[in-house]
Amino acid sequence: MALKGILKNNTTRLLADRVNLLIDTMRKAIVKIENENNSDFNAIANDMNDRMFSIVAKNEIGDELDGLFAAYNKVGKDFKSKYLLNVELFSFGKNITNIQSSETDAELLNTISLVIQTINLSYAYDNSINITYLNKVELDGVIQQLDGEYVVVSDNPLIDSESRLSILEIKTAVMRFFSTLELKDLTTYTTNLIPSSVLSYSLYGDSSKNAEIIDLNSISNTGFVEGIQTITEAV
Amino acid sequence: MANPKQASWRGIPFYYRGSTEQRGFKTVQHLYPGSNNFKIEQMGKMPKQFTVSAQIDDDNRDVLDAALNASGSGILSHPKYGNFTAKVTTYTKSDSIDKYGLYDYSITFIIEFGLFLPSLSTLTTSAISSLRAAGIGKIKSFGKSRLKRFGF
Repeated sequence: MALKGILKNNTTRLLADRVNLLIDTMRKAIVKIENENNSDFNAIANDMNDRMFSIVAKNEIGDELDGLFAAYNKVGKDFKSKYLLNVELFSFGKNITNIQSSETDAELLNTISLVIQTINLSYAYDNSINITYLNKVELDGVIQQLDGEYVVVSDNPLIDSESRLSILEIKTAVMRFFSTLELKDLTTYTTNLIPSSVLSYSLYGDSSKNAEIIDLNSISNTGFVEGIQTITEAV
Repeated sequence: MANPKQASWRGIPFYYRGSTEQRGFKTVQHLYPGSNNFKIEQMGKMPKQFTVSAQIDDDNRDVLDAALNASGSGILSHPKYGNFTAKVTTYTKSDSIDKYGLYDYSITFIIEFGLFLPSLSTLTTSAISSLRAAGIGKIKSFGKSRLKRFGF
């Protein structure tokens, strides 16, 4: 059903507010994660803020969001920062309730949130493969975050089959990419005061891995290791 | 099942009711005239095959039919075993007055490559960036068409 007159104006304002809220959330994330190199983003965001009602009324949100996210992605100085900026937007709009919204408004707001979540998740997948992971635990944490957001997007009843398939393709390619990475395990090992060569022998039955453990775990006193140590395993 | 949407074919979700997996070996029987002896020769493994019992309502029937009748490989998302590239061999669809507008499907898939593995060309970072760009294009079109329906 096409909206007209004052009803359309009210809905347009509601949708414009939602995209403005996205920009606010992005600004807060930038302050929290990476508050440098943000001039391009600010220029685009300010311009969108000024024209938001018109952008929504002309149904140009998709293209404008594309440009906004491209600028947002450039703020991060490295891929880890870029990814963390994406994480700050995960589940955007999911917990906002609009008690007075009509069914139509609720559906349109959900549509806008879905588009935002999907674009953001696509960038998160892309950024995640370029991060240099120190060990498997760090990678597993990222995979869990991505999987959680994937469920938010793919379980949305509004999403069409083409978009769902696209995001599934990205996810599958990224998970396959991750499966090719060779990362070291991270284990917690509690020890009394013992020489690192003895620790090496008790873990691996091979005291010659001593030097590798010292190197991997930045242990300064190479003679002795004590207490609860989180150890990156030598492979 | 906790989440029926986890089952899909070519991205079209359906209600997963169960599946039967068929595996085994290709065999040749060697029978000798005038002898009670015989030999079974294994000639490698049969392709892995799933017969999936699916259910769908009136509104989504035609979309699933279109996906099942599209030729070529697709992605089968199986709620118990994960994602596979597969081809449909046969399927049956039945409805009944007792089912209140629901359609029961029995679909046989032959799994092509085991767990779904994209081709090596999709594993480079630039190829994943291309997938990202294509995905954003799809969701932009989706958003535009949804808003257009409401007069935007």
